Amino acid sequence: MQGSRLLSLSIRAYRLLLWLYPGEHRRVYGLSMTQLFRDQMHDAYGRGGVRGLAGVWARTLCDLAVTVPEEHARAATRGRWIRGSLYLLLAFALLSLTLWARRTPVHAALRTGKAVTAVAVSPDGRTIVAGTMFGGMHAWDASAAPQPYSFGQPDLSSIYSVAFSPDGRLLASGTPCGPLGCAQVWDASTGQLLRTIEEYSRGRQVIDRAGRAQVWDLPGDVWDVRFSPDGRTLALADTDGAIELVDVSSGQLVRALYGRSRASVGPAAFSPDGHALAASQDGLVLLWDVDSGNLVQELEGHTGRVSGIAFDPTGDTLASSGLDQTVRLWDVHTGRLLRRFDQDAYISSLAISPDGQLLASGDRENRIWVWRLVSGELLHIYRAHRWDPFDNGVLSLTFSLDGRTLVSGGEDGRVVLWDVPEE
Amino acid sequence: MAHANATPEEMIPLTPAVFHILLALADRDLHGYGIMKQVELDTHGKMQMGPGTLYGSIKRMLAAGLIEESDERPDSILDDERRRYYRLAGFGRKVLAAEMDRLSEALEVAGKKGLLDGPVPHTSEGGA
Repeated sequence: MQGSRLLSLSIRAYRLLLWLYPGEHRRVYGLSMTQLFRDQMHDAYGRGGVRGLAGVWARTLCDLAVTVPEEHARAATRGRWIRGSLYLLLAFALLSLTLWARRTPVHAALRTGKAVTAVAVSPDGRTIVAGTMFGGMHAWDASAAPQPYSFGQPDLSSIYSVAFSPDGRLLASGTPCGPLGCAQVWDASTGQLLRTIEEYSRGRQVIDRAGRAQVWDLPGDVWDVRFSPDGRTLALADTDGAIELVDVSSGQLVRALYGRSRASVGPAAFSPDGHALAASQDGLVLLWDVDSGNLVQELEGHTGRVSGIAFDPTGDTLASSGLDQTVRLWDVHTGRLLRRFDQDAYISSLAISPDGQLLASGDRENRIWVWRLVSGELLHIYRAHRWDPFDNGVLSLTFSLDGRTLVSGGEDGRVVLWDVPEE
Repeated sequence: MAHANATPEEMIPLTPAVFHILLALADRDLHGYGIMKQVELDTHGKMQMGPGTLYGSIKRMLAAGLIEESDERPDSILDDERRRYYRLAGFGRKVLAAEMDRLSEALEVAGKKGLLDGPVPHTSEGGA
């Protein structure tokens, strides 16, 4: 909000608060008091900006708290004094509510009715898509008052992940394998199904960490889908220990990246230059060279399942979050742990802002922690999703490409749009 | 605040707000914001009055005859015409003098008891 608008809103609010004083006092001194308040506000804004305005408000509220009852008592208007006190209490309650609302800057809360496992915002910021458990896909236009529209097909009941292509024209979804394959590619503007992708890695023989030959023979559901930064390749991280790189235009398998075991792989993330891909398996964060398919780095540290992975915009740093209640920052090139953010509940989702300044992590207790990425300073803790001890909390998080909106999906079935605080 | 026909001695001690408003108006007429700024300056920012405190005090000081509204407008070219200026009334000047006497006596007692050593300057020496 601009300073001049804050100034005029403050003066209007003060004029309203003057109604707390006895009528005669207000008639004689109301104008002078408003002038004085305005002068104070202009002066404070010139010297200290918005913080200065907050200081004047703090002093003025204390001034009101003391002088409103005093003026009523002196005016011998007992009934009005009580009424004035009640008004004052109401004013304080409203002010507290306003301050609370500013502290939790919810822009909109959208309902799906089912646990929201995945959220994505189109690159132009106009569309929000959510994937749910047993509730299919939901889409909204991202206006001031988002309107829902139908997307996907009713026979897709559970969605594990959703991702927009970098040009915003396609939307990919990862699902349990079924009649529509294990992953789907949709026209993002019409919602029309363009391609279904089957499980490719079945029947492949690979050598595991212990040197034993293993054959991939079970269908693996697709946990995570990611478009490469050039939009040509889709990475599918499956529950059967592999990541398949699929050509988006032909639907053909380009390459499979194998993990250390048959355990589920995912979540996954492409580096910004598209040459590296990171994904988790068995509490490890694995890093592959996309061009050769070689596993080049194993980042060991989490003591539980890894729930979120994200590169910073430079591609030099990788963040991972886990059920061990930590977010860890890694140097991609050396594998060194750079920083550890400790939380007090297991972390179920992670996102880094497009400018690389903020890191957001959602936890099982429905809180969203916003950290300054470089310094590790905790900036905010937000709550908006309903808390249930049996829930897994904030299951999905993503920033819009312009960095102004953070979108969270919760097990409570809601998608919440947050105004990202300006620094 | 005491009635308008009270003696200066009956008006003291003054509340901090009334004392500093009288002091601010001692050498010139000021409008509300001017008084507030002068008090802030005189007290090195320790006393910051809100509109309610200032105009509540002004109302009672007008009723007690300590100050009066001024017809002269020192900053009339720059100022909003609706601003009210205030000046020290004769009675107010006497009350301020009485309060200063009281404070001087208190300072004298404090000086005799060695309480003014250190950073507090002696007023009779023209300041530190």
